[in-house]
Amino acid sequence: MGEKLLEIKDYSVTFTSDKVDFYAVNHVNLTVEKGEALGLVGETGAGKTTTALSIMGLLSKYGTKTDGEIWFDGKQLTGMKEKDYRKIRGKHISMIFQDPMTSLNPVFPVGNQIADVIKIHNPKMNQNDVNSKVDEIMKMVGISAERKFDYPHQFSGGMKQRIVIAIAIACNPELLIADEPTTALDVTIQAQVIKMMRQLQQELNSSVILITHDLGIVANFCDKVAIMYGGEIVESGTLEDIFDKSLPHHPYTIGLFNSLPNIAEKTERLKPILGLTPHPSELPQGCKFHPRCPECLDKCKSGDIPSLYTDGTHCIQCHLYHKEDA
Amino acid sequence: MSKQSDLKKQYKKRGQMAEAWGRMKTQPLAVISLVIVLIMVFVAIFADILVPYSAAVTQHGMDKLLPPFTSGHILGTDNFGRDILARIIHGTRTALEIGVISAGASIIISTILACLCATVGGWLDNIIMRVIDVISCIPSLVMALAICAALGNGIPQLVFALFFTGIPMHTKMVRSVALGVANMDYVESAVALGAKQKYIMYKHMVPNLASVIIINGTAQVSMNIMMGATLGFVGLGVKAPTPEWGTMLAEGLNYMLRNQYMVMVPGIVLAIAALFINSLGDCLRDALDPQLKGRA
Amino acid sequence: MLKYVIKRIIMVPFLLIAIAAFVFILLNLSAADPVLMMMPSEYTQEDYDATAKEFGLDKSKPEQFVNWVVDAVQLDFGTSYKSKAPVSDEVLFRVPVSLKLALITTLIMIAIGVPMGVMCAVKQYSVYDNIVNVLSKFLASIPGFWLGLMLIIVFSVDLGWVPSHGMNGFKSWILPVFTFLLPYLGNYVRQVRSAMLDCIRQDYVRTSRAKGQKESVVIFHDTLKNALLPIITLTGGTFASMIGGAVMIEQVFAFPGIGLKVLEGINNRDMPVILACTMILALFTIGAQLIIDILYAVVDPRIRSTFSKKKKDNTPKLATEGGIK
Repeated sequence: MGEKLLEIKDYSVTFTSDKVDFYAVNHVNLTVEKGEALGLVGETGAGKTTTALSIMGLLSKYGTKTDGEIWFDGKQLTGMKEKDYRKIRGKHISMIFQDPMTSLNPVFPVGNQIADVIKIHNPKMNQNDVNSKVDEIMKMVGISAERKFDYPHQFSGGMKQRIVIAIAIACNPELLIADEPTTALDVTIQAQVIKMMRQLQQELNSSVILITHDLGIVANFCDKVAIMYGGEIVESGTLEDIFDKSLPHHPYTIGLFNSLPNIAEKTERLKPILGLTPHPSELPQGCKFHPRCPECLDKCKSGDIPSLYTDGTHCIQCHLYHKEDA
Repeated sequence: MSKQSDLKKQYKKRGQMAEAWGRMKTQPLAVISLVIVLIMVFVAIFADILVPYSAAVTQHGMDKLLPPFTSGHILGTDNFGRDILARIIHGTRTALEIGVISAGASIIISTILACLCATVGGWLDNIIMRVIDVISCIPSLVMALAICAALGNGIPQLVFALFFTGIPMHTKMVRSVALGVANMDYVESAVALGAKQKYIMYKHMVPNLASVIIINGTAQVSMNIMMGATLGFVGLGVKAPTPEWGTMLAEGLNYMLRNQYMVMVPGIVLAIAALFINSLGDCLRDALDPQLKGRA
Repeated sequence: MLKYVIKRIIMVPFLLIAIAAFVFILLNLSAADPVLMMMPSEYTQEDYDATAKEFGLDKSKPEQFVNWVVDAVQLDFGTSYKSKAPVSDEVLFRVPVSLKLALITTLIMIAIGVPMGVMCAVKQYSVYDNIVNVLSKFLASIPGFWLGLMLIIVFSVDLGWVPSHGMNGFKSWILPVFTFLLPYLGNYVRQVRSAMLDCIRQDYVRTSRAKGQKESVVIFHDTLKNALLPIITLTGGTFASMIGGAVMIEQVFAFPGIGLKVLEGINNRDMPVILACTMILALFTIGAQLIIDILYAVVDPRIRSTFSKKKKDNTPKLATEGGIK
């Protein structure tokens, strides 16, 4: 490990609708190394999906302002020409979408939809090779190749998600972005899909960004974790950095862990984080978390909060761990 | 706590219509359409005060076939020497009368039918829908023509013809919305919570149906005005001396080549009326159903 | 699927009889006695009875209707009250004229309307979209018959490019087709646009883009095929309403189609003519509806699989009635 595959530098996204600005992503920095799995964790509306779509270059252009840079494999993606970007999408970076029910085109057989992505990126491949490749990929995701003539409505949710994954991995992408791939599925199917993704990731040796709000899946799957809140990354580090309770953490991370039921401790009630996620049009000044933070200080309420705690790979954006000498 | 009162203010309950009006105010096109439609309504109501009815019907002047912008006759006079502006003004009244009454009646009846279909269901639904299937196979213009032919000329007959032809489409539409709402998760959850039938009707059905009814009603008014004029044009519907845009057009037909304004003026007025009523309907739809905004 | 189509086709005659019954009742609402209308100003009771017998009007109303149906099955639509000639001779040769007029107009409408509507959806809120939007609202509000008169004044009378009425040669079709087309085109473009917008926001379009698909393929292959369903409904509905609208166009341009004949029949209170024409127009409407349903199944695999099991009423979201919005 060690070679940088994806680097996001000081990246922000603002949507404007009816003259109201929505600050969806604010000054995000992220790096993903080759072969590494990064978990991007946060509540709904924290800017995870927007970040993912930014990497894919699929944000709607209407009313959207972006700032900052995204680098992939030595090439700058931000500001790249659409024609060049198309060659990266699907081949080098691909994405698994949240809702398998709506992510497949209802009027084409699934085999065609998998074949599409192969044909787009290998225009010279003959039809027989494409067909055998489709069969092979369907086998990889655990669906018998006979079903490639079936239409999406003939599959169950879990099966559809396997096909969505098949489309995503068809060209052996270096980077796979999985946007809550299991949220729409049953728990038993979730486990299957995650297990399958883990296997595929190891076989293909690709990097993965796994977007989720399920810390259990993160613990199962990821090497690194970034916690997002209000469009910012409030804490990031290796899996051990984040999950080790003896280390200092951002109050939001602590809150997230407290909201999980724990078998080891016998507590009567869970300790949820009080309050609601701020609306991206009305983000608070200073630390975005301060209105809900149990340990809020005066200085949290205004000004920028730099990464004040760093310890090797571990990075927390909070005044609590500010060392005067650092 | 101040925070609580802020929240209260923010979520202050506003009626569906008040909210729609709030959205509409900001659209220049909506305001223009509304103003023009209101002017039409004003002209229709106060037609007698603006110009005496006799000027439009019986008062035959000496100056026949005067072109527009002649002194005393802004839009000129027709082949009987009647002031065209006066006929247009009284024609507005006729058109709105026909359009509003017929559309209103067919909306009311078809809403009742549709609600019966949706709530009683079963055989009643089946019978009503089959009859409507049969009727809707006949092109509406042909049916209106046939009814007018069977009942004879006159405004009440015309209104009945337009009222009748409007029923099938509305019943189908309102029924599908009512059934759609009844199957919505939020209605099911209200039923599961033990809500009374009356509560569900008031809380969920009425607001959903209200927007459909208002939107379709507006469209139907302009369609009926247009169809009324069409029938007048072919000599069915409104009787000759009554000022009506379609009959004016038909009368102008004989003078079409040399006195084009006789055809031009009523046609343009008809187009303007249809355009702004339609446009008001579109704006109403955007305002009542912001999710649909910018689509249709 | 085939079973469903056959079932529908078997239903058509029953539907037609129901329509005929409805029109028959409607026309008999009139107080006027058709026999009296055919009589000269002075007549004897014998003349009256003879005429009544000749036209079968001496029998009771239900009997008249049954007789009409029996004859109509053999393509005999009775004798015109006005011209005393067999109605089928007067009406049937007009069918291709009206059908051709509606079909040509529909084809041009599809050829112009679909690309325009798709472009509007792709460039939503752009200057192009706004211009087309305003223009189509405007077109949709113009009364068709009045537009016809204006076009006649400009292109036949003033410029003398095309004949103003009648049907002889290619040139005489130009004005009727355009007069027919323009008011419908306005609504059509806007509805194609909204059908396209509904699809363009779906997740599968994003999936297609995420594959690296060219934007043109994303729009015209992946999205348009989904939007085809509402577009088919729209086209069929427009075609059906054109069949009725043809009355006015044929009247303005003195075009010898069914519409002109039905208007003539209505003006003369000529019941056999009205009945025959209405039946033919209704048959067009039913045919259009049947074609829509078949095309639905061709386009949408979900419907194809439900067709074999369920009746149409069980798929209300996909049925045509919800499509008008």
